[in-house]
Amino acid sequence: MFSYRLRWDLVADNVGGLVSGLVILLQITALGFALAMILGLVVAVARTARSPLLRGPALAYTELMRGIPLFLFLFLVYYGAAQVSPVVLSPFVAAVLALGLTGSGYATEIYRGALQAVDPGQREAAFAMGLTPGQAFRDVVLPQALRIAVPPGMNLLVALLKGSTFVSVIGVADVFYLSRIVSQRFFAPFEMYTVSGLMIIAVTLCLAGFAVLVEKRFARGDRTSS
Amino acid sequence: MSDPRPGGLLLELRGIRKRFGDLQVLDDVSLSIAPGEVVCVIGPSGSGKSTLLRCVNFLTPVDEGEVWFEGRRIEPPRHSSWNPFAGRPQVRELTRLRARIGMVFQHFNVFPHLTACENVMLGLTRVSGLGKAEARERARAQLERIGLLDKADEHPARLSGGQKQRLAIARALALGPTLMLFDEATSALDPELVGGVLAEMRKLAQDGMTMLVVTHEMQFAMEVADRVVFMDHGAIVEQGTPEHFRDPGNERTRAFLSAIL
Amino acid sequence: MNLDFGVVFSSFDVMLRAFRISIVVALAGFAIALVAGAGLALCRRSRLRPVRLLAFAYVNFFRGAALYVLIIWLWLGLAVATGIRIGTLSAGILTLALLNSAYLAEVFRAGIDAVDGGQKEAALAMGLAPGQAFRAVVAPQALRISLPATGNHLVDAIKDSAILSVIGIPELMRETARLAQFEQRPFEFYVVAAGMYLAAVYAASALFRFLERRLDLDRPAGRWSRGRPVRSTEPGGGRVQPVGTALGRG
Ligand SMILES: Nc1ncnc2c1ncn2[C@@H]1O[C@H](COP(=O)(O)OP(=O)(O)OP(=O)(O)O)[C@@H](O)[C@H]1O
Ligand SMILES: [Mg+2]
Repeated sequence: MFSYRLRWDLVADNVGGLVSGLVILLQITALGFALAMILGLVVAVARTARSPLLRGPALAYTELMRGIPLFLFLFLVYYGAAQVSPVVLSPFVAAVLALGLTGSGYATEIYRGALQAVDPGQREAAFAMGLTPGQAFRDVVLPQALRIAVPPGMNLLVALLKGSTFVSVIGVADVFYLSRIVSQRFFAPFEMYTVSGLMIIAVTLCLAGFAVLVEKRFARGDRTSS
Repeated sequence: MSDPRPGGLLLELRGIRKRFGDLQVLDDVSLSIAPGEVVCVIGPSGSGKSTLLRCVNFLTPVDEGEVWFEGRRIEPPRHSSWNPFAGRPQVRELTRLRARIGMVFQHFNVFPHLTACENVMLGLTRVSGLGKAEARERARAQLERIGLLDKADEHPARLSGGQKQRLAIARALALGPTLMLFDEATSALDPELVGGVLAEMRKLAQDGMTMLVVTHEMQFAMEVADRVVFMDHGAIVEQGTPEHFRDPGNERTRAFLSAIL
Repeated sequence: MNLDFGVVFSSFDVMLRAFRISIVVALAGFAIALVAGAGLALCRRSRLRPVRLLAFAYVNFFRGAALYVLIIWLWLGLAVATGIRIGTLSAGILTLALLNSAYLAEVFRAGIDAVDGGQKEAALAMGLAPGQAFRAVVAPQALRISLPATGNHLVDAIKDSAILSVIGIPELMRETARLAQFEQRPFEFYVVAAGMYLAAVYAASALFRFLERRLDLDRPAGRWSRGRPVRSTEPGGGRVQPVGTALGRG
């Protein structure tokens, strides 16, 4: 620390930028999470289908999404898509897509576990009273599975937040992007990175704490068992 | 497929066979039930009673044999492991028939995410196609009939086992079934709660409902059944009136009855 | 859209060398984490309160930290400010080890908790000293129970190693990005690199599946043939990836 003069004034000068950078990260996380949960449900339904024509591709999809590093996937989506298709994605959209697609592989497994955890007697009872397979799924099995999926879903949200921290590598103007610019201009990396890191840790801790609360609420199981 | 049904039977099982792996669970079982009849099935554990009941509404698909209900043959769905759309027509038909066959399970299988009232309403809105308001009215009437009106807005987790089972009965009855299946409806209940559920079933029998009841309650069977069926090793060994079972002809029946009485 | 994978294959040897660095870094970091994680798990069960507290703080801090944030802060922030000089390779291995030791400490702790208390009592009743009982009876069973979760973390460590590219380690991700930009063929290069990561991930899970089978406590001819049924340490059991840890260290 001796030769290094701390310049906290740089942080003070950039408070606005840091906050809006954080908001961008939160937006990417939220949108990516929504995409993951929606896609994941569709794939999970295929994954639990009777026909191998649906199960096979669904399995391949989840294995692929869970086997490729998110960091690399980000580059593949952003630069690769621009090369092979006429659509040019903004860094923001590419980040949401990469996060959402990778997350959907995990969401699929969450839904699959949750769907399997619903007592099979529930589906049978629904069939026995004359509900169609679609109705039995929508009205009886899915609502119960969603409750079971809440705690692991919260974990996925925290995981996606951590994953969103490096979207600046494809040029999303988030807190770390700003930190890099400021620290390069003034050769003061410590202050900006410390503050950015603390902001992320604070949000992660809040989310993780919230996840624990939600988990407790659902673990009470007051409406989850017959 | 459209041969005329003999003698106004409500349900007829013909030569049902079912195996699970190496185990022949049902071996050429035939059984017919006339409208208004109450048939009780008894037999040792693992003899195939539940499986027989589940074959009636194809919760378990039969391997061989025919199921006739209200004069129509129930077609088993012909699922294919490749074509996800195979079997759709049969499933649609089966779904229609299932709405007319009420089923009550040993473990209640009431829907934990719905209130008591919503449990009953679900079938009314989805199967009978009623509007919300009318469904609610009818559901409440059903709940009142079985004495659960004060629990209408509770979730099943707040109900006792006996209340859950009576809710399950109300849920099935709300759809106006012509046949009711009971699979050991009281075996998961604490002894002091059994009476209430049996009373409900007795009332139903007196009202003329056709019932196929798997039970271990010999007292109840003797009192309520028009006919008792004894099963062992996947086959019907002996059937007859309750009086007949006071002095059964078959040795195995005798052994079973003396063991449980 | 005209794809040209030929360009990739003419640089394939460069990518393979980079891939080897990725694997070495991931394995080295993970190996250190295995030892440190086991130590931390024991510390969390220590009789000394300060030791327990320190281990608790360490584990929960690093489980909550995102890898990217940690590595950026440590090597672009703290190290620069304090004037610490350390090679990028060591920095990467160290960071992976820091994070993974925290994850593994939790895995091992859960594994030890899952071994029936009766097992330990039986060993003590036989006259084994507490330390012996732990080493000879509890630890082997706990290890077996911890295997699936440990395997998942190895998979994650391999994938996480891609993030190390940000501090300049010439591993697969960094070399791929460099080549992709130079050749103007990002799609082809990233797809091939993705295939390499998938292969490594697949090999790692296959290795752990093999170990699980070899050490199956319930198998009559297994190494510990008269053990008790295995319970998984992760909710949802065995091979399901624990999502919270998976892509989560970002
Ligand atoms: N889905 C299944 N897969 C494999 N075997 C089954 C299945 N369902 C039932 N069985 C077997 O079929 C046999 C008959 O079962 P079933 O449930 O019909 O007996 P049960 O007469 O109802 O007995 P209990 O009085 O104990 O309820 C049993 O040996 C059971 O293990
Ligand atoms: Mg049974």
